[in-house]
Amino acid sequence: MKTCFHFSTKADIENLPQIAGWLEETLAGAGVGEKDQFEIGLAVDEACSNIILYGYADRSGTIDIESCIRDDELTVTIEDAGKPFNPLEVTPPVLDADIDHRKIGGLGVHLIRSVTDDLFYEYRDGKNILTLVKVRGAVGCG
Amino acid sequence: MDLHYEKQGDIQIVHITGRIDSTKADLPGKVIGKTIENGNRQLLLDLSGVSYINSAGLLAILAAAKRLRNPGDRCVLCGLSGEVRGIFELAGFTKILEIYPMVGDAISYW
Repeated sequence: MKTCFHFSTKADIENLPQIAGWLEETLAGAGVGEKDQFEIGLAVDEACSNIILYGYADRSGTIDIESCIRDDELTVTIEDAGKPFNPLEVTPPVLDADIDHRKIGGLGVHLIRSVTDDLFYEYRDGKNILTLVKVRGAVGCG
Repeated sequence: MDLHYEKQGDIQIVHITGRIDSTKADLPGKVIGKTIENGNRQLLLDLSGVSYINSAGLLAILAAAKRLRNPGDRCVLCGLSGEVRGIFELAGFTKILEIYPMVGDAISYW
């Protein structure tokens, strides 16, 4: 069985807690475990932060999120009409660099990759469409 | 996110509570920057009240640690919950930052 929920909000940094709250409530209501909630929540927060801070840096717009829950996996699709940005092309950070050589970039996308099992991106009809897939109950952080 | 300050000898403790996400991620950076500019170069960040941190918060902490690299400087963390510690581990930060279970542990090993 598959159950889907939809949420749309203005791409404003102040709305990030609202997105997190909606997702948590939706997943908890559908019986998704706390660890899966926390991890997919992190991935969605990172993705939406990128969209708001970079994709919509020079324009206003909306973010549309669809969360689908199946018995064995969660899928979250995030759409925005900001600047084209393919997170799959972001260079991963060098995790074993020492503190003086540790670079700032790429950490958000690295976290998204780390807590999801699959990631799909396409740019279609002027929109970035990012799909995050998480197998329920799989090993992640924490 | 709330911040509460406590001084123990030369150690400036900053107790942080709440979510550290992109809405307020520059706050730890600003606070820590101000603390350092005020002459405090031994910093203990207590995250025991932090329920969530994202990459923006991690990078604010990394930036602070990078500023406190002179002889005698310290930038130490404590109180990470299981979930928060998991995020630090995924980021590779547990290898480059000094982290203790609780405030008392950090101070006893100072």
